[in-house]
Amino acid sequence: MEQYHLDITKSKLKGPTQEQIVSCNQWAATAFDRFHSDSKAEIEFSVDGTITKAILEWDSNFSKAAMKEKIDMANHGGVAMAWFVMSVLQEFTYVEQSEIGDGVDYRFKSPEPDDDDLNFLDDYHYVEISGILEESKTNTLKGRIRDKHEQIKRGGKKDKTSSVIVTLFNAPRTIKEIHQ
Amino acid sequence: MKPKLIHQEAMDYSFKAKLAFEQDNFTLAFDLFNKAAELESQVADFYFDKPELEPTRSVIIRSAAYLNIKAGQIEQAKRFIFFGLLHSTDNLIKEQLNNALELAVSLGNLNPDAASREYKYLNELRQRSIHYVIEPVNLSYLHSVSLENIKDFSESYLKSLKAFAVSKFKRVLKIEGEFEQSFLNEIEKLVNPLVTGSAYGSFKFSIANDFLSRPGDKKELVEIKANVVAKYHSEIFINPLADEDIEIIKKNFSDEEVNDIFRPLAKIKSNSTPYKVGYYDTDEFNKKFVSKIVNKQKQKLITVKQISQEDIGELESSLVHKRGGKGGRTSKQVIFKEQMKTAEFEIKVSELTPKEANPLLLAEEIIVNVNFDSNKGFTFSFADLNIQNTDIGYHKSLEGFHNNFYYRLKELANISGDDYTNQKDFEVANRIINNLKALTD
Repeated sequence: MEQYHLDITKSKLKGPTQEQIVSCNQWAATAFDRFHSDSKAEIEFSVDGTITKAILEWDSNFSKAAMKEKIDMANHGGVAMAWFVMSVLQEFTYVEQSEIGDGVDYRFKSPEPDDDDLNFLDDYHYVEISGILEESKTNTLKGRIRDKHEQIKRGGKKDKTSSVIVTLFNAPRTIKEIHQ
Repeated sequence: MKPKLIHQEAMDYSFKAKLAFEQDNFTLAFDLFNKAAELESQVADFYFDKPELEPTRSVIIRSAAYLNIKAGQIEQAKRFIFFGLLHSTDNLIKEQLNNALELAVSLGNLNPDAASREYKYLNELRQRSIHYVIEPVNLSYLHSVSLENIKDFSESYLKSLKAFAVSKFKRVLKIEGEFEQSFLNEIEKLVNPLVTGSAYGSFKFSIANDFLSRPGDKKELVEIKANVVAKYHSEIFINPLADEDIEIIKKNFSDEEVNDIFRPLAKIKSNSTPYKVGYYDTDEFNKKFVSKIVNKQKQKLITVKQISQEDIGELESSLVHKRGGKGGRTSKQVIFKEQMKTAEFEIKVSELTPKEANPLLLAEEIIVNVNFDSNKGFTFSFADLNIQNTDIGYHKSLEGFHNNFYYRLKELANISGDDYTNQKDFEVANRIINNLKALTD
């Protein structure tokens, strides 16, 4: 079984600062630590229909004093896992972020555009990202994936240039699906 | 200029601003959002005269608009919103800029600091909101909804929601029996849904409850109040009330709690309600209308307490001053006395006794709602067939109700079974009495 450390993203992904990647990884670690011990767990990755199992490790050696809100754990942790999937399990080396009403949207590219490229947000793979700590009657992994596909559909992105990535931290399981 | 690098710097400030918010450091967050907005504005300005650089131009302009709103720089945000609405060809971005415009207009008269705080609060409330629509049943005024309908909905919805909240608070605080009045007052304050959006057509609105932890709030109570609207919506409001659902409800709530939660809800979901309520279904992504609560469900849910008109006459509030005197005597003075103005309860009816016809035994016992209003008298109603009667006297009103009920059944018996406009009433009548045809003239 493959073994990964969440921090591999730091060396694989450009765009966000190292500080941002570390911060999101810490939120993911805080979420994982709620359900798993010894800073590691067997995780199921379902990437575009292919299911693999792996051991995922993370760094838990940091102060969690300011990391209490469950909603932030799920959101930022979900981003960390999506960055991991796209850069480590897939071959995207760069993500560009832009501001929207309730957060940020994420566009992945490979290779990274030049610093001089004026149309640097062209030709990207758009990803809707989400995270759930644990399922409830009204908040399921299946439901969240459907919700994210619907958001892409409403945005008119119906071709194969978009994906959804949702992580369930207690299982743990990360699902990436190309939006059809 | 290297817009890519400046944009990345802006997004880094934005990320740090969000972290500062999460740590309740609003001053730092405001400062960081301002830095982000300033940088992103420079980049957006650069793209104004470069229509050939799509989609980057539209994405950056949207980003600049939202960062300026988050920084409370509303006039600057409007500049990007208007430009984007005029020049962007991406429909999603246009839709998002329209939302940004609505926000910018609402926040326009606030100073930057206040606008930024307001946006942050509203944005979080909106993420927790449930979206409803009220539509008139009768299209006399086309799809316009009256204030009376909105008032009726919100009164019953609030009563039911608060009763649900009380039962949740009781469980969390492990309180058996009655709450102290002061604590009930506290819950009244805590459970107070806020309107987070509204629009015509018919009347669309979104609501969420406050989620902030305020001084003195217990952590577990904050958790309940933050999620109370969503929980109530999924557990109670859209519950289809099939037999197994009712069983679960009866297991989880006491009879009194069920009455307090479902009696007001039955009013909203009654057949005779002049409006229908829809909601946005997040599983299927479409508008759905809530199902009606009919007699059969009421029978299983509601516990009918036998109250007579005499009991109502005796219900009154009074303020009495008692004073102990010499020799153990106590003097008593009534300072204030008020008789009850309104009351609502149910009675069970298993036989119709019309004045000018033989009694009619019902195949299914029905729950009749009785409403007492000191200005109007007693109103007896059975919503499934939209029958009601009002009179100042209890017995006179009940007698009239029996007559109206009987004549409605006769009317249905005489109408052809192919009449689809009365189809629902036929179904109810056939369930209530065994041989409807026997009433044919």
